[in-house]
Amino acid sequence: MTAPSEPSTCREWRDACFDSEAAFGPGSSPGAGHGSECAACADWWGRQCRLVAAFRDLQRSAAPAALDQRLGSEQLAAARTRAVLEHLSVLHAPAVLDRLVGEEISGQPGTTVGRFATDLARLQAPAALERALADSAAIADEPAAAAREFRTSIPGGLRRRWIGAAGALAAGLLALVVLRAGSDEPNYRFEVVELDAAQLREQSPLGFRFADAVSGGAVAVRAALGESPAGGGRK
Amino acid sequence: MSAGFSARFTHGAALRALCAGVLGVCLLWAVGCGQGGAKLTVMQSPGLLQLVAKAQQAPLTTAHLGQRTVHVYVHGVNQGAHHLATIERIATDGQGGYSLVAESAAGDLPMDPIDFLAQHADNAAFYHRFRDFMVRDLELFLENYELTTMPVATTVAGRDCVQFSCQRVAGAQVAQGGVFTVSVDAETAFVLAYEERDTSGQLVAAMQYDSVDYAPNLQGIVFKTVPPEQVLDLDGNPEDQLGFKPYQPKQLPRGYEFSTARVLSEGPLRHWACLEYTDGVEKLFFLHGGSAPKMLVAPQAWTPQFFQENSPYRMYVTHVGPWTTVQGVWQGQYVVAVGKQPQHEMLELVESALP
Repeated sequence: MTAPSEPSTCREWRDACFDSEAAFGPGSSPGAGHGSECAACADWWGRQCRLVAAFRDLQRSAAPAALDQRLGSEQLAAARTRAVLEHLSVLHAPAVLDRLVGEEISGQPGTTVGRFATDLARLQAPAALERALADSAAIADEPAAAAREFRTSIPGGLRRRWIGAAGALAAGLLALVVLRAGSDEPNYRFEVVELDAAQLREQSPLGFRFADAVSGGAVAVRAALGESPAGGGRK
Repeated sequence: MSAGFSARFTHGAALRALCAGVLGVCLLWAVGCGQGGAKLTVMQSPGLLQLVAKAQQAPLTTAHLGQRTVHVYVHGVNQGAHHLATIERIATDGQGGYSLVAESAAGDLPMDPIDFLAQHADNAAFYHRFRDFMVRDLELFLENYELTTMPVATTVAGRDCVQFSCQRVAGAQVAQGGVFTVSVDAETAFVLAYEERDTSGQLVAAMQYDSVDYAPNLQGIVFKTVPPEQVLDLDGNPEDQLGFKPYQPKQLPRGYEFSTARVLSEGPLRHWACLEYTDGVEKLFFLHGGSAPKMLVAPQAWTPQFFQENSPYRMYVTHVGPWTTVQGVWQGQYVVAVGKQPQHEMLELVESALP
């Protein structure tokens, strides 16, 4: 294992040595870089190695037995915890946090995006893009300009008639759509068959009699005298 | 001047004053409304409103004896209209009872005159309740109907009357027919005459009293009432009365509401639930006859073969004048619907009643 070799200055090289887990251990060396070139750092390296070796040889101190007994009681530990918590002062979040949380909860989904977007520095578009946009606007404005010229070239009365004709056409199309929608056969769960009054009398005496009674005798007249009803085919 | 003449004079003057008062209010209101083209409604005329409200109960609470002529017109495509006229004797006892007898008939009779009079007797209850113009629900009438002409004074059977015309309000889905010109007795509120025209202006039905007596001798007249056992209690246990649970339409034509439920019996073993609906004037019926197979419980009872030999999911539609009849079988259950609604509305009514 070798010490880090990239740092060139003494301080940086020594900080790197502290960050290295294997530095100053048994068998380690200052490496081929700054540690071998700088005599001061080479001495510093040697001192650190001796200190680490000395710390490893120290005996671990044991806690007094009485202290273990006091700490061993779970109840005492819990009471101590409560006492500590009771003496802690309640810290309040800054008001700005309350406001921001409130905005997040009650605001639109884009609140966060909007807040951070407004903090972004506005970038200037490249000059080439500005020129391209200007050219596009000019092209797009050509039909509008032509329409303005067209409108001013025809009389107002003729223009209103055209508008009226277009409105009538649109209304007609709408009516056609509505009529077509209304003429669609509904989807009943049963088949529908038309009978004339004579068939009704023959096939369904009760239905015939009931309809005849509430119609004041009209159904019987129709059945006896025949002929298709006026406006036949009504749906 | 005799006391009797004086009394008659005083009574006649009071009647004329009453009629003039009703018409005066009507004219003032109508002139005001007509200027702006606003909808004319009975609500805007307190006098006419009171008369129409009174007309609802008049046949039930006022005794009378009269003779009237009833006209029915059936229009064809090529042959013009068939016309049937019946002279009837009508009486009420002021306690809910009625007597309706056809005395003669003329015109395009559908059968032998004697048979026709016999059939008229069988249908008398239907004619009395459903055939003629009547404000069946005042609230619905005020909501669904508007006046088409200004009320005017007229005379029917020697009685001072107020005549007005009404039809379903514009914008609503208008029933076929349903344009009525009605003459109401200014004193008793009896409907003494009416005409009904279809949407093309053709006369469909008419009735006019030829004579009327509000202090009649009613001896010898047999009055009928609707038997209480024929009222169907939908909120109770209709199965006990019918033998089955009756279907009930869930989708009604616009402006219609439930009115009455009755039991129609086709013999002692066969019962129908007859649910009646109204838009204030017009009637709409839905009948449910229970399940197949049917029994031939009476001559000319419902012919079971016709429906059972065909599709069990088929409805038969018949049009006569403004009337539309729908009947058929759905999963062995027999249903009938009759009303002055277009075919699609009648079919939707039936569809909504099916489980």
